[in-house]
Amino acid sequence: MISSLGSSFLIIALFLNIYTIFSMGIFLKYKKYQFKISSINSLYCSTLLIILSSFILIRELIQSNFNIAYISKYSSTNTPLIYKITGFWAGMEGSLLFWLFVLSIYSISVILMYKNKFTKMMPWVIIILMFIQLFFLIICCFFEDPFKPAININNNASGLNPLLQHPLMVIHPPLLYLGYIGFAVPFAFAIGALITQKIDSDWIKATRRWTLFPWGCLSVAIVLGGRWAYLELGWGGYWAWDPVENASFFPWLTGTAYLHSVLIQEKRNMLKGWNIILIMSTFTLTIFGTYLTRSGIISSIHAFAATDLGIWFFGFIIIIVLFNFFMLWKRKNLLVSQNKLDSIFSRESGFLFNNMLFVAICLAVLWGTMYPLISEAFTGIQITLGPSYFNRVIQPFGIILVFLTGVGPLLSWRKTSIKSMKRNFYRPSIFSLICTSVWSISYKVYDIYPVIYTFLVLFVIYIICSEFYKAVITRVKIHKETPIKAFVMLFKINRTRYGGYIVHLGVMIMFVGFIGKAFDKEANISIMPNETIELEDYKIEYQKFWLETPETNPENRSNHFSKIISMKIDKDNSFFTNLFPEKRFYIDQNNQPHSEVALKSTMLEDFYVVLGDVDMKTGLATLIIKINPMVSWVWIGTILLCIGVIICLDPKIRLK
Amino acid sequence: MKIIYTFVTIFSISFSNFVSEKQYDIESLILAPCCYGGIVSEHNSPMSKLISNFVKEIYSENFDNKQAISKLDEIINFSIKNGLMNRINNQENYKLISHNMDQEVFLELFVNLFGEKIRAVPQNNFFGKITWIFPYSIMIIGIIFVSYVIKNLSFNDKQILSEVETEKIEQQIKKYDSKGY
Repeated sequence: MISSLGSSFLIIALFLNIYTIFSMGIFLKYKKYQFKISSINSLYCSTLLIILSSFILIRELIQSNFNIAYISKYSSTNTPLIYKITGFWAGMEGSLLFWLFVLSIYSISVILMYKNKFTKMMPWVIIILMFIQLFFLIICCFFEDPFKPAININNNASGLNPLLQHPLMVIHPPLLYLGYIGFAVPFAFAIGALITQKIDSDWIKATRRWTLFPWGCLSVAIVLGGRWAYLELGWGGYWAWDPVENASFFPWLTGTAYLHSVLIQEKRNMLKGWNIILIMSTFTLTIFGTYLTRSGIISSIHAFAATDLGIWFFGFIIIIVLFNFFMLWKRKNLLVSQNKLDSIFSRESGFLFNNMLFVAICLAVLWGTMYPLISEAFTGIQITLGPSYFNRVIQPFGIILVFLTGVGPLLSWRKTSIKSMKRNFYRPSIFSLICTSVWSISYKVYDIYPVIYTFLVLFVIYIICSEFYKAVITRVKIHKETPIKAFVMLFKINRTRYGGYIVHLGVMIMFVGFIGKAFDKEANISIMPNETIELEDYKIEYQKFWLETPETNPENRSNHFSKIISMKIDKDNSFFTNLFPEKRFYIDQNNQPHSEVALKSTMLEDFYVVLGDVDMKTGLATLIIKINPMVSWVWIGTILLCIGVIICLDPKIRLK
Repeated sequence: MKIIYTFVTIFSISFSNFVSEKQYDIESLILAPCCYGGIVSEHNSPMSKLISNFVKEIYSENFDNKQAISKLDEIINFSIKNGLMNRINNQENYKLISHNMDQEVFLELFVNLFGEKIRAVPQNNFFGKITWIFPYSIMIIGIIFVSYVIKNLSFNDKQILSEVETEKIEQQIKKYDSKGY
């Protein structure tokens, strides 16, 4: 009953969606205002129905209604409540409904926010958003219905994959979707601007927050996904260049390029066409990413099960691309820059090179990701490229990009004199050169990439800090403020600029963590209880082992039993930590084993232990021990990036 | 100076009995043939462990050819048992085994066993070379393109803005710069 209600709501939403597009079209054609009102009202209704059907699915997940096929696949009676809810986006059908849910929230927010602004553009924005929504409604109603009744009702369903039963999986997918789908808003505005021929910087200003917010969400989601992989998958890394990881990286790269290049349009009224191309690419890549993870064309451990949906997504991508090309061709005369560049040594040029690099990285990663198909087409053999390829290829790009991050603030708009460039470069270069040399020589680090990256990261951090220092000193002198007040005032006066610096600082701190990856260490050991082994500075004492079952610990082990060992770790002959690595067996998943990583994080390094297995008779344990330097800096950098984005989300922007 | 000290202290770890960098690099060249879902160095599966043991033997200082062959046999037997490969004649493959064997020979050995699909790096042929070159060519083309765009978007001596336009731009920049502090 309730399942048919959910399906019915989606079908009605689909008709309302078509009506919204149709009546808005009539309004645009005949300028009859009542059709606009009617269109928006039907949009409200369809949004309400989508939200209701989403809540119905959540309710049924909580109540473990195994009459619904989707729920019998992704929930079980033993699944903890929070993971029953996360089952909403764990599978194909639910995640597509979640797409729809987020898109409808975005659409309605845009309409409420710009109800009386952009009167010419908004109807087109609504039409574009509704067309995107229509595609997902069709998919949900006719191909991947989340409310489809189960053929064989199984009251002992297997539940959510154990790997997904992690707190980060509660946050990561919603953030990822907020990021992905959020780019639909600036895309719709860009198309609206092209159709209405209002390609000035107004639509850019209007969508700044609508771009920054999804970009920030996507950035954090990518890092949280990495953190989840680090804690759950047990291989000790956070980025493996997997196709699904890369799928989220593509729109992030073009989105980042867009965020930089719009500054040129805002300040100099240039690169209008380029900005539109970037946001078109970003949105298309979000759909492409969705296609990649759901079509099964590229194999990945993170992908959804392969379905026939691929062809529909492919068709949708083709339509978007053709439409984008058509719009660009139709409005090519309006996309010519009104201003000119004054010099190659200007901030505009810096941004252009930065854009080129982001796009080049995106194409390089796209090439590597699609390589199995490309190699099969050319050689008949499907070859999947591993991290060694991506790391080797991307590192030179990264060097130039980090360098430009530092150079950017030193360049003025329009033109920078060679003399001032020399003056600006001198101190940070000397500072980072000395620091890097001392570090490299003292600790015999001669690998080219860690050395270059360390130099550049220090270079950029110095420049950002000196930008803050100079601005604070100036304010203290002019306004007679205290340094703290002056520092705070910087963010009030120019949020974009100083928020941006905080984002860059966050990224550089993340790079410190990436540099640490070059010094990861790993050891495989077998050890008996009460035995102590030494790994250089570490002394590892294996104390005891035991078994916990749903009976012995019903509160924490409701759906699994676990073999646990306790270890005492000393470092440099003083107590460091106690760790309890686990090997879990999930009952509902045919006792599927899963190693629960035990981790001690410090600012300098992570002590990371994975329990391979433990013999419950003898207690012989096999362990993988990893020392991962500087990983914490990746997470700290992300927090800074978040703070920077929040600062940049300027609520005081006033629109015409 | 604190930053320097922090950096300096961090990298003071140097463990002799951890997996060597060489072993890690070698294991990064091939995918774990159990599921082809990741490279051997970052894959926790029984199959990956067997391959790791083999690599460890090949690059160990106390290399023993018989030991290495027996470790390769363990991989083959495990693969046959789990339906990952058919029984094959290994004599040619045994000949490839040597102490500190070259990366290409290592790849050849595993390609012989599992096919080209096991590669996590491009093949060593013309197409493989293109694979490496392509991303850099994009970058070079990009740099040339941007330089061309900048050159074409830049003023030259013949292009002179009207005074009104110049003044407008100056005002915009002043407005932006004054917001700075």
